[in-house]
This record gives sequence, structure tokens and C-alpha cells, in this order.
Amino acid sequence: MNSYLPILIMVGVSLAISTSMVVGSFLLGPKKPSVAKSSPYECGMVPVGNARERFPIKFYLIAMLFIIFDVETIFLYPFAVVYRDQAYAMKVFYLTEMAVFSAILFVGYFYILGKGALDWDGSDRAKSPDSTSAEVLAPRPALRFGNEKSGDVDLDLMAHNVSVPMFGASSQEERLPGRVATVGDREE
Amino acid sequence: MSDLFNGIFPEYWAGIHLPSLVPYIAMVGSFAFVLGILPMLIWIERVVIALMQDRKGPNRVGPRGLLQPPADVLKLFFKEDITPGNVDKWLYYIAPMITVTLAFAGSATLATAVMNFRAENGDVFSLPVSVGDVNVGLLYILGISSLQVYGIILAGWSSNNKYSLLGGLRASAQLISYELSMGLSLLCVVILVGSLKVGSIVEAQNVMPFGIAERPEWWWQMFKGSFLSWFWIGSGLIPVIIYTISMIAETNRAPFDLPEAESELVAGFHTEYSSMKFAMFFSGEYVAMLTVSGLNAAVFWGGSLPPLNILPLTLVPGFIWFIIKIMMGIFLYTWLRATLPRLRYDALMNLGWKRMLPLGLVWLFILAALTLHSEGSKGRDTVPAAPVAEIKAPAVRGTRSARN
Amino acid sequence: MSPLLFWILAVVSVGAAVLMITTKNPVRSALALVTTFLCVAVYYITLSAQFIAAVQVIVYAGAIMVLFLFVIMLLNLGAPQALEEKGSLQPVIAWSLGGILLLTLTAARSLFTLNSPQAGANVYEPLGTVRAIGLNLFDPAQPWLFPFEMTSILLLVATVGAIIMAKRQV
Repeated sequence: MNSYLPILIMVGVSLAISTSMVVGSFLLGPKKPSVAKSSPYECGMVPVGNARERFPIKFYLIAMLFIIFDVETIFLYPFAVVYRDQAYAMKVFYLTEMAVFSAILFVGYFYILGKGALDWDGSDRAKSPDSTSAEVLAPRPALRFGNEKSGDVDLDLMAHNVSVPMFGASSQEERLPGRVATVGDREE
Repeated sequence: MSDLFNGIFPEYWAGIHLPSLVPYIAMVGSFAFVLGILPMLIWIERVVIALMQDRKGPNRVGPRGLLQPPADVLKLFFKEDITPGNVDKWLYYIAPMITVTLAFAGSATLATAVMNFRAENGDVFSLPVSVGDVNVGLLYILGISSLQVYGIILAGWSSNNKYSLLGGLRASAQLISYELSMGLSLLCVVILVGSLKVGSIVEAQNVMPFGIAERPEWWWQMFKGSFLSWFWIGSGLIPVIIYTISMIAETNRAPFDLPEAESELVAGFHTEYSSMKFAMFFSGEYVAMLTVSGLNAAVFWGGSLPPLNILPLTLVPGFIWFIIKIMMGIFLYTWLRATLPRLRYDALMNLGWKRMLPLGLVWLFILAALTLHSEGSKGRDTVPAAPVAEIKAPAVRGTRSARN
Repeated sequence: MSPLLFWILAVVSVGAAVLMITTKNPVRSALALVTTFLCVAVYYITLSAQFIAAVQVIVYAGAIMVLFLFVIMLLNLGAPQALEEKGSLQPVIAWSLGGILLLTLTAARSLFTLNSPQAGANVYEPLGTVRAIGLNLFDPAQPWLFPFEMTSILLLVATVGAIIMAKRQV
């Protein structure tokens, strides 16, 4: 108990520091409230509706799962503390006991994984991870570069034949005095 | 006098029992360090990031911009303290207080150094310098860090702002997810040490690396308690990796700074805070960074031990080494912030729940299985096994005769 | 426990508990409950039950109350109007049950003298540490092996329940 007293005092001092920060800023700063200042900040838009909206059930689920695994971690602490100083046979017993405990919880963990409760990118993806890949991998029309004046432009050719001025590339700039190469140049 | 030169203090000095003052010395020292380094941290971070991005950084106020942080603090104090309409006033004011209080109180059980005393009978004994090197030291730090959620979630909810609420929610889900892997990585060390005292964990690293036998030659002694015997490698690298990732996530720093993703959420949960209350969230974050870096240093990087047990290094006081290790942690934070882009939210949650949680748990059991044959020294924690009879002793069963 | 500490703790914990049931705003109410939990944790420490104190903070204050807050926000109970009830019997029942509890406690207090923590401190000191709890929890000679393993089944059921409630469509 005595060794906890300084900790309690430290918490008290921390509380005093934080209170003095709030009070100090309250007393020292100017007070000029206006309608614009006291409205919620939404990048200049007028806020619509209540800010305290309902939110996805996902967060609730995460909090629930956290409790379950937190309790498991709590049980691991006494195990970890006493494990080291045991004899071999005792260690085997402890380890088996804890392994059974964790294995049962891991069944739950894999159940969660299988149900897709830990997937945050939509339930379609959760069911079949490859469902979007066909769409992504499908052949697409070739990209075309250039505008109506220039017609199609081959970017590979450009990279080899035309020097484009870049920041810090002083030697290239010297080779093209006064003019900046543009896409149209090559066709003239 | 030679005692003092060797770093050994008398047990009684002018009638005062010095060992019982150690917690209060540690408390004053830790407050002084944190409050002193806090403005400098912001300067350090700006300078380091400027160096990495090849620009100048702060250089206007004072020499090399050193007076910039005090100027910022003064400015923040004298800025208008706006309380937006429709906020829940109580919670709006309490939220930054929770953050700062917990951040300052969180480091209480860290062991920052070891102090040696000479007892009346001539024996030398050593004490870890800590506000309270208690039996549940690690659990205290984890408990405080689990309470940090409230500052964020209440700030987000009370602000009456959609960005704040979203930021607060994201932050709290992130915090609780990474707390699990943080606890598991620390457990990997606990299973090797058999104690939750941070002082004992530091002391347990003061041995020969990889369990090799001790020999008297100096070139052999050099490795006793050296960087090779610290738990970053002693526990097999995986716990320190898990811990480092989760400590960054726990403090909401880049690349895990989703709660304050400025491109999506303005400033996240502290969008509506101004003046010193904004600075409180800011400083709370930095103090929490110091605390988790301190825990990292103490648990995985040898705490107050010098990197090699040879003469010029051992003369440096332990707390200097500890501070150096903390500052390396801060440097790592800054480095990552300058280097890595922000994670997507699903990637963040996947990393926490699908990678680090199972990995930490499996590694814990692997470590336990590996140490099956090594029998530890009994009674490091000095707590005797409670006999069965004592368990059955009446705890609440009241009797008339129980009062002595 | 020094009288000063006791009075500070007593006032804070009872005050927070009263605040928890009287305040109209559910989020503030939850915060008051967290304060009560933290005070109870300090009580546990004064009774040398350090591990229980840590569990109180980590599990109750740090995990379960976060879930409470999430549920309050999930159901959007933030506005006090949402909770107002009229013509309910609840306050009557609550007051009478509370009165009965108070009577029972007073009667118990006057009939029996509880062990004072000072008197029993030496006996109970080692029992509250993590080490002692671990030694007793995992000891094959003790009867707590089975309940411990059953806890994991309980947690498994809780996991399944949480998933089924939250994700009915999957």
C-alpha cells in the first residue's frame, strides 16, 4: 500500500496540472464570441442535421470483441508471471492448461474471421475475396494521349527524343536555349 | 566520499532515510523532464523532418529557431478560448483534462535508473528509481493507456461536429484494437522474467547474452548487460516489432494517424478545440509518446543499462542512458512520420486484428515452450506462494471475535 | 488507509455514483460510472488486492465502459429527451429495493463485525499479487482449474453471441 501512495500523489499532481491548463487558458484568453465562431466547423459549409449521428455497428462489434480478448489477455498475466519459476513437469501442466484455454478462444477467433466481422471493406469482398479481381484484371482499351490538335502521341517516343525541362536539370535546359519543347514541336 | 564517487549513497543522511525519498525524487524528476522536454520535442520533430525533407525548418525565433516552442506556448495561452455553441460543456472541458492527466500519470511505474545505497551494516543495496516500482507495474501502464480512450471519445462526442465524432470513433476503435497486441508483446517478456515490475525487467536484462556462462576477463564481462542481452533480441525480435507498431498506433501517430487525418477529417476529434485546450491534446499526445517510448526502452532496450559494460560507458549515469533511449524512440516516431504515408482504415484494422494479435499470441506460446527446460531462480518477486490454508481463511466471513 | 485518503475517496466515489444515477445525459452518466470504477480500484489497492485493482481498471473501466459508450452512441441516446419516461413504476421499485438493501446492510453491519483490513493485512498481503493469483489459479491441487477452462467456453459463447447479434445477415 505504501508504495502506491506516490503513484496516487502523482495522479493528483497530474490532475492539478491539467486543471491549471484549462483554467489558465480560460482566464488569459480574450472572449469575443460571435455567431460564426460558435458554429460547428465544417469547412465553411452550413452544418446540416445533428452531428451526433448513429454510426456503423462495426465499431460496437470491435468493442465487444475487444472485451473478450482483453479478458483472455488478463488471464495470461498470472500465467506469465508464475510460469518461469516452475519445475519442468509443472511448466508442461501450466502450458497445456493455458493452451487449451487459448485454443478454445481461437475457435472463436476463427469463427469471427470466417464470418467476416473483421473485414472493413464491405461484405461482398468478405464473402469471396476474389470477386473484384476479375473486374480489375479484365483487358481495358489502350490509353491514348494527346489532344485534338496533336493527334495521338506516343509517349515512348517522347521520352527518348524530346527533352522536357525539369527542376534542377540544368544541363538539359542549357541544351535548349530559350525554347521549351512541347508535344507539338515534333510534328511540325 | 569514495562511496559517492562510485554512485553509492548513504542510507541515512542527516537523519533522513534516503531510500524512502526515492519515489518522490523520481516524481519530481519525471515531471521536470517531461515539462522541460515537451516544448523541445516539437522543435526536435520540426527540425528532424525539415532535415529529412531538405528544407530549413524553424529558424526565425531565437538561435536556430530554439525559442519557437516557448513562443508557441505563450501564443496558445493568450489565444481566444472558443467554446462552440451546442457542445456538451462539461464533457468538452473534461476531455482534454482526461488526456493530459493520464498522459502525465502514465509513467509512474517506469524504472528510470538504479540507485545504490550503503546500509548501516556496510552492505550495498540498490533500488530502482521509480515513482512506484509496484507488483503490477506493467498493468498500471496498460490500464492508464486503456483509459486514454475516454479523452478522445468524449472530445469527439461532446464537440457537436461530424468530423470530431468520426475522428473520435476511429481513434477509440484503433486504440482498443492495438492495446491487445501491445499487451501480448509485453507478455512475451513477462514470461521470460516472471515479474510485472519494470525494475525487475530491467534488472533481468543485466546478464550475459543468450545464456552463455560468465567469465572474469573484461572482454567477456563487456557483454554482461550489453545490447545483446536486452530483450529486443532476447525475446526473439517479434515482440519488439509488435510493440513498436502498436505503440505508434496507440499514440495516434503517423502512419497510424487516421483519427486526425487532415485530408478527410480536418483535425479529427480536436477540430473544435482552440487555444490551450487544443495544446492539451497536443501535449498529451507527446507525453504519451514519451511514456510508451520509455516503456519500450525499459522492457526491450535495457532501460538504464549502458550498451556495453566497459569503462567510459558505465560512468554515465543510468538515467542519461534511459533518456537517450527514449529520444531514440522519439526519433523513430519522427522518422516514420517523415517517411510513411497514412494507412487506409481497413488496412489498419487488418494489421491489428489479423496479423499482430495471432502472431503475438502464437509467439507467446512458442517462447513458453522454448523455456520449458530452463528453471528460473526462485523468489525473484519475493512473494511467497500462498499456502492453501490461507486461501480458505475468512476474507468476508465476519465473526464477532475477528476484531483482534 | 489514512483518514484523509479515505474521505477523499469516499466523497469522490459516492458523489460519482450519485451523479451517475441522477444525471440526465447518458454519456455523462457513463463517465461518472467510470469514476466510480476507478475509485473502487483504489479501494482494492488499499485492501492489497493489486491484481483485482488492475483488472478493474483494464477490463471494467477500459473495456466494458467503452462498449457502454459505444452503445449509447450507437443508439443515439445522447439527447436527454430520448430517455424520459412518464408514469413508470420504475422509480418506486428502485427506491424500495434500495431501501431494502440499505436495511440489510445496516443489519449486517450491526450484527457482525467485518474483518478490518488493518488487522488482516499481514495475512492477505501476498494473496492479492499477480503471482499468488497465478499460483493458485493454475495449481492442480486447487479446485479452480475447471472454472478457469469454463471461462474460455463462456468467452467463446459471448463471441458467437456478439457476432450473431451484430451481423444477422451473414
